[in-house]
Amino acid sequence: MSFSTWFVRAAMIGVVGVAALLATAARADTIHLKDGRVLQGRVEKEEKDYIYFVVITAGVEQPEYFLPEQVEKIERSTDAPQAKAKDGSKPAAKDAPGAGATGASKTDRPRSSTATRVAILNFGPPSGWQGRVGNMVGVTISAKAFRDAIPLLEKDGVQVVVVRINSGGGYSLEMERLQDVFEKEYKPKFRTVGWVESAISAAAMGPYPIEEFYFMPEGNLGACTEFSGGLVASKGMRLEMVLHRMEKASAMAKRDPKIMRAMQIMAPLSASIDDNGEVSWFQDTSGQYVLNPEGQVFTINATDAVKFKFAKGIAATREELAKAMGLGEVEWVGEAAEASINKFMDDTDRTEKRMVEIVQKYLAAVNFARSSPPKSQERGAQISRAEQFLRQMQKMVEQNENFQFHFAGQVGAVLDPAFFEAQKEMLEKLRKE
Amino acid sequence: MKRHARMLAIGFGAGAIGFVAANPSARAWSEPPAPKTPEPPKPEAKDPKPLDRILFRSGKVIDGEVIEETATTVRIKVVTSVGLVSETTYDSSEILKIERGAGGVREEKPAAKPATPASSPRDKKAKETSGVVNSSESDATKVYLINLKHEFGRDVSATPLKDVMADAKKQQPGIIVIKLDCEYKYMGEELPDFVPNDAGPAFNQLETARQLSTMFTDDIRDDQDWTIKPRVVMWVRKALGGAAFLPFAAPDIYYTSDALHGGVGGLETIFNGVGDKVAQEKQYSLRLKRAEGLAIKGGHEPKLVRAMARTDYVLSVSFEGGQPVYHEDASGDVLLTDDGKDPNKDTEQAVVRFQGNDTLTLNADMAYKLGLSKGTVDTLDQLLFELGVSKNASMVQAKQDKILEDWGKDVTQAERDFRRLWRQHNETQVQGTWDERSRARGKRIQILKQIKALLERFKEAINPRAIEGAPNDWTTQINIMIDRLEQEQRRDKK
Repeated sequence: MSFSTWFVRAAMIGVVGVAALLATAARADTIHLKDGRVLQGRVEKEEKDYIYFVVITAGVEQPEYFLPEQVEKIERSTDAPQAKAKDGSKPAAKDAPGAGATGASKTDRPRSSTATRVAILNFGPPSGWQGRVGNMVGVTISAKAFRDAIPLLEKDGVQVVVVRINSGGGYSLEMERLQDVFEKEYKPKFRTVGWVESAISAAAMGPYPIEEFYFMPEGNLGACTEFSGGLVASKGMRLEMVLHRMEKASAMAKRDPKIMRAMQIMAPLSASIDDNGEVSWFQDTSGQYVLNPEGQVFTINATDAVKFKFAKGIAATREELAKAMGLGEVEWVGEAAEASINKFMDDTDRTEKRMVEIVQKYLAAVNFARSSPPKSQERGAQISRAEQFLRQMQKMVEQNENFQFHFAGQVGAVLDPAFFEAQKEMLEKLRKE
Repeated sequence: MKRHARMLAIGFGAGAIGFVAANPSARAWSEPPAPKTPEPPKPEAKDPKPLDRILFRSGKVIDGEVIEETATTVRIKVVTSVGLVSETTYDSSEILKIERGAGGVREEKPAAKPATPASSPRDKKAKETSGVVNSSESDATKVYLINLKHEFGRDVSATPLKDVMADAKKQQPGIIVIKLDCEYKYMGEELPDFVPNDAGPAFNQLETARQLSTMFTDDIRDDQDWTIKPRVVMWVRKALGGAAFLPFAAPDIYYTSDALHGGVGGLETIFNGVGDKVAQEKQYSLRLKRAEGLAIKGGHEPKLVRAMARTDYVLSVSFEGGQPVYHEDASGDVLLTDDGKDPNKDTEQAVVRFQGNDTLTLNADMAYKLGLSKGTVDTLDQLLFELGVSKNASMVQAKQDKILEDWGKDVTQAERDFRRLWRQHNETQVQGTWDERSRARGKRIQILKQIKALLERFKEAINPRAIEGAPNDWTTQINIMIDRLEQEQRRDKK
């Protein structure tokens, strides 16, 4: 959140031109304090009596003054200043819906021999979309969409795929498919990274095999208890199955399975950190830090995720992410793949919002047809309308196989091919009566 | 002391030249008489005592006079060139260094005159420099104040705030101040301020808070049209219920002296009686962490959010070197929240007196001690002073107040219109001749389309109780009703 800084600085140290401020935006200095702290940021002013340093943590800038005697040493970065374009042209807003997180990259442009080619794919709509589309796993988020994006990523020469996660969960069925896609298809092909804004339930479990997680400052991951209906939790064999599934996913991710278990059931979780910074996990409260007390379900936040090495870093922007990932020169690519996944989200969201209405109109047309005189023009017209709605329903269901059961409650049946066949036969019979 | 605070409240602003003290005599300032009108500063001494320079860890620098120092606090007197006096107590932990006599001396200027009637030139000058009128000075820091009032989630929601931020962007302010003084209300029902536990409705509004926070943070950061990235400052007077989550998103939070921040307690009970305990806990966990995320984003302690939300969470605090050190048990020096179980459960007497500690509702003092609040300010002038821009602030009076007021009125009108239109729809009987029936159906369809348009525009804010159903459900049903009417018309023969 760099917004807060420019004017703090201007207010404190006098008049500084905007252009000059922009020009210093990319510098990164490190200050080593005698108390052992090492802070990243920017030396703004160095005087005989004090050092004015802007500490940058996950995009948040906080000005702080230090006395020379507090400072062990300062490492200055040699990064070139990031000057604003002279022609005033605007870079693409990186999180804008549809614009893509990949900015102005083009698949056909010459490839830099040194830059790492990184794509960002949306696992759920980022919060910048302001709730425009839904974020349910199995509805707007699907393994199929991620699988379909692979050829596009390959064509674009993508080396690193960042899966940006923002979802409140969804169907367990899709969670398993997503695990397979990430483990078996993404990880062997790309350095695959999870970037967590909010990963709840199936949205945490689906991408869980990804080994490398980074969190946004507001990020959270967990609350993976499987339930159905009115908060009825899975029990018995089904619960054991899903616990076992996540033990395997934890192994894929090289994470201690106790963490996920505490996210699924009310298992306590604590951790200790030794002198070397190694973290040990305990399925009780005996560790140095209690992360999940008895009787609660665990969700981890960004600061704990980093503190306990669940995540490798906190990054608010893609630039911070690249830095946290240790990437030098980065080329943001993968526009086509990103657009393909975004389109899937848009299309399925539209379908979800319209399906109820189409089903209702279909049922009304059938009722109108039944109440019309046999072989009348009106009956024929209503049957034609019903057939039209039925075709729309079928097309909608074909977008996402989960819609077969997702909308089952609307018609009292699973909307599988057999359902549509039976409906067509029924309408044909009605026409002939 | 009160006099000083009052003077500060009415005077600091764009025209104040600097934080320079007028009089070297600490005694004269520390025990002032209390006349009805502010007393002018004493004439300046020929050989004035040099001022102290106070360097804050935040980067703020004040030239003034240190009049009292204890182990934990430093009291500083500052006099502006127009003679306004401020004495403020700061936490020692905020201060990096005091440089005695390094702050220079006050400039040779005539002392300010006492306040005079409103029409006087002196008053005019004061107004011009008070920070509440536009300044034509090119180097002035533009300050854009957004007053968030009335009901959070209704009067304060995404659509009007989007418009307000678009308006702000045109102004390119250096500082955006968001003052939260919302009613403690949900779906039109207001609660007394002392009620600590309203987690159900509050967490329903968490997503509104997250949505708005994105506008104030990420959207500004990522939108290149904000050529100046403003500092966003939250100023809390009343942030109870869902509004309580919003301030956490910004690094800079100030409180008014009568501020209340909380009212989101009892999270662990909102699904009582529904389903299984473990599934309930899942719901509590995800809500809490999404709320904590806002605090982390703003650079604040997430444990404070937890203490606000869960009655069974115990949090205490100690202070080491002035910095808070939290303990998730009762071992700290100050118990912020206990476990809320007998015999610790708050009594009604304690609750109504804001003395309960089952869940955390912050006031100005505690928020400041914990470092969540950067200062306690009751007036805009005081706030500008604290922000270090009282010398050159220029308030931007654009469309923000009107946008928010109009939205609130429009939502209320929309609810009235809905009821009127729905009544008209139901009173329109489809009967009589074919022509009459056709006309009636046409009228019904027209009314339904009007209702649909209303709901589409105001769905985020409209009170479902006022329309007897959720707006989105209504939209689907209206589409189906229109389709039925059209089909009935098709089937109806003359």
